[in-house]
Amino acid sequence: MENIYNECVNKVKCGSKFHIDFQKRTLKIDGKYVIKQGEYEGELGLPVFDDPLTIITQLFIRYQHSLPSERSDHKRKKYFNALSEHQLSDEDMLYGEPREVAQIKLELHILIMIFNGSLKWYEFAKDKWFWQSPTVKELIILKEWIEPKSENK
Amino acid sequence: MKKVSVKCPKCGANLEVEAAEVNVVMPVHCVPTSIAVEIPVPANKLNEAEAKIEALRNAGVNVANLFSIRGTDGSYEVGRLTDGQFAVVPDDDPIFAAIRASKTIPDRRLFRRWVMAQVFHMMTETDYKTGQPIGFTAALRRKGYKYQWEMVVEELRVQARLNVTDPENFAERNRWFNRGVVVQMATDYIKLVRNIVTKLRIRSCKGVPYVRLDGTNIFIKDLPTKVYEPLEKLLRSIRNTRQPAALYRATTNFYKAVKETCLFFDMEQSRAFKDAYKGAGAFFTLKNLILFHDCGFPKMSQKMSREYLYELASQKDLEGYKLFGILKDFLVVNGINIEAMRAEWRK
Repeated sequence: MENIYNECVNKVKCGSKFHIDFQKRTLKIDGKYVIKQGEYEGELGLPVFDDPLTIITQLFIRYQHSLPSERSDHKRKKYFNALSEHQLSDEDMLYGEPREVAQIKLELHILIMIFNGSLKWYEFAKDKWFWQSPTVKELIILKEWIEPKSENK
Repeated sequence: MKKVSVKCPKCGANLEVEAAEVNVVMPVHCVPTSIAVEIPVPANKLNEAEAKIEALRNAGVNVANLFSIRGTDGSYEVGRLTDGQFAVVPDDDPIFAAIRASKTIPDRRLFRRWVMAQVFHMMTETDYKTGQPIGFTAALRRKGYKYQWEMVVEELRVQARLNVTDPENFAERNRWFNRGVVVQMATDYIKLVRNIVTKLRIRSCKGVPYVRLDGTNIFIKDLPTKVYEPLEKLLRSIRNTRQPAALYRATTNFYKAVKETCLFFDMEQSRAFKDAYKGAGAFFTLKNLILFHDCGFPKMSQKMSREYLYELASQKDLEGYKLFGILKDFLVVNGINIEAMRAEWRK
């Protein structure tokens, strides 16, 4: 893929299924590996960010207020919790993104930030096993996602 | 005088005595070691604030962050917890003011905001390759043929229930999806099947011609008895229904036959379905916009706009696509740009 981020997001918009595993560093689209245990072909499609947590927080808020569907409700594994339908405002319902699109944007962004070295655990949550956003309390990132247990020292 | 119910622990006899009485005459064989005395406890009376919250809860409003609090003067108020801050909800708060002004309760289930959300999303759906808007009809077609039956069956299931519990809401929904629409959909399906069969390759088994219809081999001479006649019979059963519950059952049976006969994603959706879908989508979107988003028809107040909408819907010859056209015009007049609002939301 020339641009993994954009092409994967477009595929999910078109109805493809996806699965991201932070610990195994994998991304599957329609059951096929795009990134397998940290190995991929082509460009990731995102630059290195000085402050990746700000963008992750923005993407999380969008995901949190995204529009659920039968398809997104049946998704088995989710790293982050979004609001249920009755908690969404009318504006969220009318103008929000589809939930599965918002989900891949958030999760793939984090995965790519891990790959390109923007997200380093010791820089923002040293000595902690989880990081909670100071502005959005619902956003929690676990250490084992960024530094899997086998790599923990 | 207040009565007290006394139950004998041995023989189980119930005795009613007046509260002032102290002597209870008991049979000798059951001299009480202990007597269970049942005194009816009055239900806790709700204070004014609790009563308000209870009324909102019954109306389906989310009251998770509302509390009853007591002031220093002993009066009860409704309090709201927002972002860790606790504040008294004034009587002119939008949650009460909206109810008073319109005499309606903003119940999201009742006012079908999902319909409005879906209409907005489908109106702005884009092509996968070019990124250009494809329009509402194409977005509906993209959902596939199966969707029309699944959607109608679910709609009729809800209508069958509403017919008993909420006749007013039933009438609004039945204006668009009703027996006539289902009959037309079923008729169109039978025509579609006949068309598909004529285009199938004719195979032969020991010299007897047959066709393969959606994976099922059928001799050509058996087509009327095994395919068309059962469908026609089910169509007649839909046509003969008089009650919403019966219509729901008949439609379910027809859909079951559709799944067993042939069901392809790219089969053309019925015109009657598309029209009803647009009509219902436009009607409930307009109603929502008028009631809860301060929108209205030109030079009309909220009340007049609502009455005008009902008047439009009451016209039997008003087809769904025409009301959809009115909705598009309504959005322009009220300055609602969905794309711009969506870009604003993403910030």
